[in-house]
Amino acid sequence: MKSHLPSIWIKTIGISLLLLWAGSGQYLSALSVQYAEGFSIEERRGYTLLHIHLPVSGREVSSTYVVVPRDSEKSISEKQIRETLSLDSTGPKVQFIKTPVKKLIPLSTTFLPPLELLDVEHVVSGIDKLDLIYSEKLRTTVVEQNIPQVGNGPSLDVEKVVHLKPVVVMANYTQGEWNVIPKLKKASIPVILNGDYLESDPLGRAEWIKFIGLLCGRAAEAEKQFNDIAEDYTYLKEKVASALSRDAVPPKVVMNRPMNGRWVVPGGKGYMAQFIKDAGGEYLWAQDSHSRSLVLDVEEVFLKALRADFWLHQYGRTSLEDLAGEDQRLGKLKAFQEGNVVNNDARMNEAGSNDFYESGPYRPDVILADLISLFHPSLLPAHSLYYYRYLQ
Amino acid sequence: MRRAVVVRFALLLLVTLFLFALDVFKGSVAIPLDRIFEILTVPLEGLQKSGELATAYSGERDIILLFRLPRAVTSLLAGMGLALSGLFMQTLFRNPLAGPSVLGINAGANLGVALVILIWGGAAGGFVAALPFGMKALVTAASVLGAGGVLVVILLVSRFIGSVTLLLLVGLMFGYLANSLVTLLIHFSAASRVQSYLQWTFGTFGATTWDDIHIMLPVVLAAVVLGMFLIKSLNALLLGEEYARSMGVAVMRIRMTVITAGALLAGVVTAFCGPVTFVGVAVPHIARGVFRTADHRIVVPATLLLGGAIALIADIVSHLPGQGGILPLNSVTALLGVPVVVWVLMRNRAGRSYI
Repeated sequence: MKSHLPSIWIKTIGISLLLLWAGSGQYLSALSVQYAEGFSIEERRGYTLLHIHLPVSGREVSSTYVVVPRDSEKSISEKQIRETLSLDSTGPKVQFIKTPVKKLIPLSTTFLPPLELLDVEHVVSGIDKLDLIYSEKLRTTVVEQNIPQVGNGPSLDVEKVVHLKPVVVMANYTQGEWNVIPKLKKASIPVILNGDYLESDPLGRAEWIKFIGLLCGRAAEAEKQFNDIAEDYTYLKEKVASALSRDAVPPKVVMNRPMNGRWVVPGGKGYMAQFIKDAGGEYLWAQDSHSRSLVLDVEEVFLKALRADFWLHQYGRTSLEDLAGEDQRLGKLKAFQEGNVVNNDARMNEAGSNDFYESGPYRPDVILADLISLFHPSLLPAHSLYYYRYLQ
Repeated sequence: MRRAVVVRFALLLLVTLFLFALDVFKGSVAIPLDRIFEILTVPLEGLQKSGELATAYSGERDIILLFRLPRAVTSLLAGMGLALSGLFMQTLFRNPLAGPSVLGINAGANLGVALVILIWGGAAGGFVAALPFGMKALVTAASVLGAGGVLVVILLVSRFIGSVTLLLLVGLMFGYLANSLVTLLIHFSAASRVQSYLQWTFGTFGATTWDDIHIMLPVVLAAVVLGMFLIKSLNALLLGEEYARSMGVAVMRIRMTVITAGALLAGVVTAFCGPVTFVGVAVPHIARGVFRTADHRIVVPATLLLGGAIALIADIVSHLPGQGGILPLNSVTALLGVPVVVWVLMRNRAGRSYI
């Protein structure tokens, strides 16, 4: 073991020097990625390299896109870039995307909020399904401008997509689009994977606004908006940490509800676990080491959940009566008896689209504020719940 | 009755009781045996416990009384119900392949449930919850009607088609029809409802509460009693409808009774446990194999006991600790059951003649 130490030191020093050089030199990056793990950005003179690397069903799917601004004074031809890149070893997988992208088809509603936040929703030339959209503004736009619905997953209408001639189709791989991606590629329509939902850090998920910003020519604005949100989030998180004395007992939190004898709970290293921790709560599975959800036997969770102070996310249930009507055993939970059953569906429309899953990922500061005001109301006395509501 | 038969029944009964106890004693949460005995025998008022101990105890008490017992009772009832329904189908159609999942009866029940969950679920939650038995009674009714609907259609068709094989094909076609309607429904439904429907299709004995058993138990018991009364007619049907008629059996009436009982059983079990496959087709074969007879006086009780026992085993295996959660019931029933059925059929090469 000892003999390896010097080489590690040399590597560390080497990398530090490299970073220093990169930081001071021509590759100074305006867009930096701090929290997200699924994408990285490399700015070069006249173009930008966008790397996507996502863990999709157990293997890593990675791809690189060359993002070339349409009218840059440092304009550089595609041929020149190819020549430079061949030295940089990037393989034939590289695709070129001219920005700002003028026509985009987002195959998931979660890609819409950043477009709206950056004021570029006019690039949307097709959507998956109107019913899935929460944002009133976007719904009106879709109806007024007659933006076509192309479906998603196995029912994606490939012909319609090809006919719309989008510059980019944005997909998230969960709906089974892998079947159609090769077909679209043949029609030379690049499919960019957006992995925001795979991030386990709330700020990492929100940081994907930079990815959208880069593609839509709004990189600086995206950077600014994200920094504001990150600053808010960090401020709130630190406020909780300093306000709670070391021996204070944080409220215990359980999530979801049983379905067919199983109780699926988020893993201890996942997105919701991080939120609960940052909001000064004690998630009952905080010790677990998975970022994916855990499928547990109902009795196992029930025993733990009996003494939880808060109970979050009753997906699909709208009242306490509704909840106990489904399974009267749930009425035994302390959180139920004390009225601390909280749902993330304060903003859900008739069609069942929930804004928590639409704009929520891009406003982690608001979700955190909601959770803090639930767990420690005295810390944010002026805050009124935005995404959350108590079940009555 | 021969002594061998009595011994086998006694053994089967013991095994079933043992499995029932095992299902209650073993689970994801480890609870010591003496504690379980205490929970089962001492009423809550008689306990002298306080503070932390009382809290921990009441949690374990809830697990045994509100989770494990209903689950074990459900397994037993579902296994008995599905197996008996399968036996009815096999005798009625005089076909060893018949069973709720083969004849499209499960698919009919499936369609009924899908209609309720996907169209009404959630949106009209308030309306359904206001019904006397709530959503679940509605789901049950839809499931039974769906199962019965397919059965009635198959029987109507059977008046025009003489061949039993053709009839099975027709059943299969109705199954496809029902399933494609379900797929269409899923396509047009909101994601949250699709999720709760898909969960249901995995099949489980662990989703029921005592309230559900209050619906399930009388239905299964009624069908079992009906089955007992039908034994003589079923034996006659085994020898062909002409023969049964000559024996003075009112064939049409018996047919309708058997169908009603079969649909009730398959429908009610499917509503509460999801489409549990395999048990219905396999258990009657195991029963005939073990007792080496097709006489319904023996096969009906044997099917009931074996059905309950096999469902209990499947439930126990799907809840074995140390596998991180619970296994899907349908994969467990088939994985465990297929080798047994193949072995029974190989051992009784004359098995075909029973049917």
